[in-house]
Amino acid sequence: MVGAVFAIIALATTVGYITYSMNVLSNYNQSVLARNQQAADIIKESFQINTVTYVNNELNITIANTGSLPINFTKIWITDKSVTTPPLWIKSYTPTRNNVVAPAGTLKNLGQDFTTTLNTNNPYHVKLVTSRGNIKEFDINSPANVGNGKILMKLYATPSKIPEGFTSDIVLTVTNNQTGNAYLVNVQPNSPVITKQGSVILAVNQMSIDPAPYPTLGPGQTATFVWNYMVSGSNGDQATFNVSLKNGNGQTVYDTVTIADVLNAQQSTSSLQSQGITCCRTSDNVLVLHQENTNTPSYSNVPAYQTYSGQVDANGLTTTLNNQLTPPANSIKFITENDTSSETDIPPGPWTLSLKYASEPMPSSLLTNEPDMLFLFNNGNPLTTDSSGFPGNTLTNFGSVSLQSSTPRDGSYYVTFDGSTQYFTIAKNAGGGGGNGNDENTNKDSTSAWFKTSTAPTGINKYILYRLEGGGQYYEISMIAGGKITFTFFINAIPGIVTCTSTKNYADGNWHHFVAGRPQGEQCNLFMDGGAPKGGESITFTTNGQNGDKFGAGLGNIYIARAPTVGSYFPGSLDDLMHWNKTPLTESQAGDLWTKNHGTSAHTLEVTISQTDKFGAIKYTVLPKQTAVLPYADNKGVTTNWSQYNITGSNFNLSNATDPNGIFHFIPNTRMLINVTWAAASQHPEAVPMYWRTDDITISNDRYTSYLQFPMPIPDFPFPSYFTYDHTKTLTFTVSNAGPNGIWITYSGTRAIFQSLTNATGSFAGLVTKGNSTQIDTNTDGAFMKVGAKLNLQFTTPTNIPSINGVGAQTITTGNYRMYVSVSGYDSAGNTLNRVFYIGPVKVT
Amino acid sequence: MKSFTNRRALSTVVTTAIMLTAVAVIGTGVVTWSNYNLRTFENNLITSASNNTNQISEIPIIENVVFVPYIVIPPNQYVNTTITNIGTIGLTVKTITITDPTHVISYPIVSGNINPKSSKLFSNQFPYTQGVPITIQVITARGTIISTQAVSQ
Repeated sequence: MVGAVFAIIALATTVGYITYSMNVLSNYNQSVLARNQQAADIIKESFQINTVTYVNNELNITIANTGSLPINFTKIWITDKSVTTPPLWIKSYTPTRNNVVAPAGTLKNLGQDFTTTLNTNNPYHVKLVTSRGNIKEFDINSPANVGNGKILMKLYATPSKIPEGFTSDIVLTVTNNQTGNAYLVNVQPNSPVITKQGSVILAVNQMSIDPAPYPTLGPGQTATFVWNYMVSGSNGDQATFNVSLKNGNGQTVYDTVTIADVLNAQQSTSSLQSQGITCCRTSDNVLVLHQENTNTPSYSNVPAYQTYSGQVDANGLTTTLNNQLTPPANSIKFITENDTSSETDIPPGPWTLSLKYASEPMPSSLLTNEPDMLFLFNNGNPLTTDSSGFPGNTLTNFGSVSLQSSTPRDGSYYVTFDGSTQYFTIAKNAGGGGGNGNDENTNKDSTSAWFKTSTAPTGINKYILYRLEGGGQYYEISMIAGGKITFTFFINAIPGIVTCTSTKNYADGNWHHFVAGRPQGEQCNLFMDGGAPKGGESITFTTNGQNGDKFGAGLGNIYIARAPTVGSYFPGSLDDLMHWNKTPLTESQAGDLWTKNHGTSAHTLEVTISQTDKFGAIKYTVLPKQTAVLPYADNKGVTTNWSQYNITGSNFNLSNATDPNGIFHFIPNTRMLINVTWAAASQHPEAVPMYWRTDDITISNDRYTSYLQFPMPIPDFPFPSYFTYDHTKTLTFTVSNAGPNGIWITYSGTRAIFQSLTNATGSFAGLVTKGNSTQIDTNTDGAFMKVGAKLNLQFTTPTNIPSINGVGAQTITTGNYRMYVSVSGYDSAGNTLNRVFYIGPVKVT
Repeated sequence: MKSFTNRRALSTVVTTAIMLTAVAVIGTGVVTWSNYNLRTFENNLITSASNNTNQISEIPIIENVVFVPYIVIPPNQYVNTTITNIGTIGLTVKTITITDPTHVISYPIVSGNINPKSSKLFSNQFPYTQGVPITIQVITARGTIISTQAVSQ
């Protein structure tokens, strides 16, 4: 019994202990389970960073909850990586708002409650910490603090070859190629920097707005920026676009757009050229100055010339402008065609009048006595180039004499000798007999030049400016003691040495001019600084020698700035060296030559642009009279060697003061008049003439010659042209094959197209019918065109439903149209050929 | 003839009582001893379970590591470790050990208490080498061990 009691007690105690233990273990088990659940939750918690931007110089992070549990962001660490020495810039803070995101939700504006502003140019390391202890880190860099290779940039011009006046998309891709979890912020490109290469008429106009920036670029992401540009100019012109990032690391990418004929995918290389109604369009903001004056009004009985947006189509007109012209001959006018329906609106902006011209080297009094040797020493010309146009004037440079530009005489360059090693020689013209060149075998001649020195020789020493000798003879112009200029020669005949010497000192550091000449035989003239009538000196020496005395054989080359037998170096500057065989300049001509004609102020023009009524009477002044000073244009003796000069500048930045937007409205029945006047009153009295060239189709790679350019009209309606097409007559368009393969023109795709300018009349097209005398239709292609051959294409009368017979279709109505000719075919190499000619604005009558 | 003599003896009741008393005394002693042991076992169980439960509930994380080239002036380098208690009970950091290929340094922590949902920064002088990873091991008073690696750039 007692034992049983104790047994019961023992059992009960044991059971109690076991039960308690089980409970304890159960609690422990729950703790373990809870801990496992927490661990599982940590794993289940998942989020990704969508974007990182700066807003008001504070972080703005967008988070996407990709897990199945809500996420609470309890801490944000921000480290400025650019600070590497203490005190380090490391901040942490607990977000108080916008810090919880539900599963599948998006959290925006995380970081906006951070009280410290950030420097968006600095690189930062950011760490996000959740309540469960998950951490995600990433870097934020601006393009400036990303090394090369971490940002991949590429630029594409699409297409890279376009016809003239077409547009190309410039596409920039920027890829965040940073390693790790690094974001790129504030990705924004600079506007493309455009480098032009080619003709002077090459123009590049932006046709789109600048692309918007990318606030954030995540790792591996690519941003794309696109600009649209119109490129107009001549075939072969190139525009290179260079692009870099704003606040970037200096990386630049580039691509080039080239103006070229468009060929189809099969890349036929045969080149069709138009010789039809016109020879292709110009840009609508360019008015080419033509030489025709049909249908133009007259001013003081002098008809104005045509100007319109059509390229040159004649053999060229040279207009001579000089001081001898009197009104109205000294004024050249160009006027656009009148039209009753078209309107052209020109927005404010820069205008440019571009002239092709050449300068006459001589003043009017010497036009019939051009020098036989002419060295102007202008910049852009090789030092050794003679501008007289006569062969044989070969200049050799000893001691590396170079062109100088500081304190010039007339704005142009000159040469300077060091007075110890430098000089020129000019080859004596072989053959003698007083022919062209520098031959002295004559009894009359002249030599002139500008010179400057600040030191004079002493004693019997002299500085040679110009000397040739040989056979016991010599011809010399030099400076002697006292800075005097002496002209002396010896022909080995009575009376012997002939000398003309100035009385003044010319070694004063200023520019001076001499004309030394032999009126005949044994006489000399020396005109200093234009001669006595101009305030200079006129020295004449007459002897009893024979008037017909000439230098004999044996004279050697001409030496400039040194004696032929070494020594007597000239320490000074020289410019505009000239020599005349057989022509002694008079005192008056020496005065005319004493000018600043060969520098930067050779010619002065006055330009006026006006709006007129349909009869040409001026209604409104677009450009008030502006004076333009043109530099000397040296054609180096070649009559077809033209220079181009752009008259532009701040005075040519025009805006219509009577329009709220500054737009010039050329409404129907108004025309633009361009007036260019040779301003004699503004010219130097001895200003050299100017030869102005217009409408010259023979100049290669130049379809404009002289032209006026202004801001692109908005909308893009050109001025009416002088091209007309009488629709009652057969439309003919001529093409030629420039090679390299022979071609056939096909019926399919060969059309003449008239696009309405205003959509009021609709557009029309005509089908090709013949090529020369050969019929072209669906069964017959045009005759084979070998390289160099021409083909006159005939078309049906344009209708709105193009067909051979035009039945049921509306014939083209009178009005203004843009005319195109589309030509299709194939070449002898099996390639397909397509070419579109844009003729330009055409009036259909 | 047999003769009967008189002898003295205990009666059955008395022996029974003696036996009962003995059993009771012995049994009580055994039960008492047993209970004592049980209480001891219970206490041990409670303590162990409590410690382990607390250790399970203790969740420290190494939130941030900063390499400090020097403080005020060179040359002493420091490693600043921020530890956050994301658990529901307080913890005490007892030791922080930092190692790299050439050094193993343990730092006893004096004031290592971190309340739940709180963080504390521990700055320890350590000659780290730029670009060489280091291992940071944190041991709490309850024996929880966490570690991480970091590298200065």
